[in-house]
Parts: sequence; structure tokens; C-alpha cells
Amino acid sequence: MTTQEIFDTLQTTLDKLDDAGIDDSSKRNLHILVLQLQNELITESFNSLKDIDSVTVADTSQLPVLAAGVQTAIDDEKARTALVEKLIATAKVGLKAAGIPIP
Amino acid sequence: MGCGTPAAVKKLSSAQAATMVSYEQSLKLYFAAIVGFADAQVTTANHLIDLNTRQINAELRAATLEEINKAGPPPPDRGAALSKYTAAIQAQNALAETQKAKIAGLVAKLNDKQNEMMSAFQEMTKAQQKLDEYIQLRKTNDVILDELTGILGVNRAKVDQATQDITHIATDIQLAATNLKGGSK
Repeated sequence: MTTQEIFDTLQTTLDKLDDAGIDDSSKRNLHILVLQLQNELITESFNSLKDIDSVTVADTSQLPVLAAGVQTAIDDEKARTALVEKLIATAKVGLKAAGIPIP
Repeated sequence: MGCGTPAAVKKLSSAQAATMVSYEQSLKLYFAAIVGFADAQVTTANHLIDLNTRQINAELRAATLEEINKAGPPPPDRGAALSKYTAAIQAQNALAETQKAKIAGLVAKLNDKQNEMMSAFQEMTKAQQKLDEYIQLRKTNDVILDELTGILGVNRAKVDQATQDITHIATDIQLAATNLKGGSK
């Protein structure tokens, strides 16, 4: 029997006592029990979140380190490109001085 | 000599990085909606627990009054009845607070997990953007090829297209040769 089913049974019994016009300490105790159970049910309705912290999230801890490596590669490539551009410019000047026309 | 990063690769990389940034915004909005929904549920649950607790306390009070006003003999022990009532109400209120704290704890777990997921996705987006930065970079090969084609007076795009055409022709020839071999058997 689930908590909800127990709650429903108690509530039905309480309704029957109400209909019969019974108003004594037993009915009061039953009403308290129904209300306490209702509070327990409300609390239990959040239980689906109980194991959420065990859900694994992709491990991204290595990404910043690897991104730093890519940044180094970017810096190296930029330096290499600048060097090549400088070499080509120097070569062009040399060729021009030698009388070879460069567009 | 290579031909630098192909335009198709650059386009995909750029689109992928933009998609991830856009998706990150969607996730942020989605998680904010979930947090709002969960908070509203907590407020409702707390309200119901308080309401029920007040009703329980009212029933306890009625029971105590009944006991106090009971006709003897023996005469009712009013002090004992009031002490019992006070203890019961304290216990009931403490239980309600425990239940509310349990709910708050569970919802906090949800928020923590969402923050963890969001942080992970932000790291993934940053990494993708860094990768895209490298892919979009004008590399040494591009410089050399651009200069050479410039010297020769040829358009770089035409050279790339010619390279692709040659590759296609080479593939076609290879296929034709394979078919020829297969047919001669």
C-alpha cells in the first residue's frame, strides 16, 4: 500500500465520521493523522530530486588547459606568418633592386 | 605545400561556434524557467505545510480544552494538559520546519546541478571558440600561397578551384582505371 493509498483510506474514514456527525477525540486524532500524512506526501513529492547530484556532467576540466595549448599554437602561427611576410617583403625588395619586376 | 584551411572547414567551424553560443543562451533561459517553477512549487508546498500545521495545532488545542474542561472526578490536571499541549505544538512546528528544510535542500540540489551543467557548457563553448580562432587564422601557408599567386598574377580563389578540379579529375581517372581493370577480368 502506498502512502497515497493510506492517505486516501484515512480521508475516507474521516469523511464517514463527519457524515455520521461524530465529533470526539478519536475523530480529532484521525484528522491530525490525515494532516500529518498530507505534509509527508507534500515533502515526498520532491523526492525525485534526491539522486540528481549523482547525474554525471561531462568532465570539462581539461578543456581550459587544452585551450591554452591552442592559444600557444595561435601565437606561434602568428609569429611564423609575420616572419614569412617579412622574408617575402625583403625578397621583393632584393628582386626589385636586381631589376626584376614584382607585381 | 598545403593550401591553408579550406573555406568549408572555416565556415563549419564558425557556424558551430555561433550555434554553441546561441544554445548556451537557450540553456540559460531554460534553466531560469526551471528554477522559477521549482521555487513556485516550494512556496506552495511551504504554504500547504503551514496550513496543515495550523489545523493540527487547532485540533491539539481543542483536545486540550476538552481535557481541561472535563468534569471530575477526578478533577482535571490543567498544568499537565497545558504542558502536553505546548510540547505537542512545539514538536509539530519542529516537524514542519524539518519538512520545509528537506524540500529546500532537494531543490538546492537541482539548482546546483543546473549550475554545474551550465558551467560545463560554458567551458565547452569557450574551447570551441578557441578552436575556431585557430581555424580562422591566416596561416603561413596562406601567406606563401597568396604571395606566390600575387606574383604570378593569378587569383587565389581560382587556384583553389583549379586544385579541386584536378582532384576531381584524378579521382575520376582512378575510378575509370579501376572499372577498366574490373571489366577486363
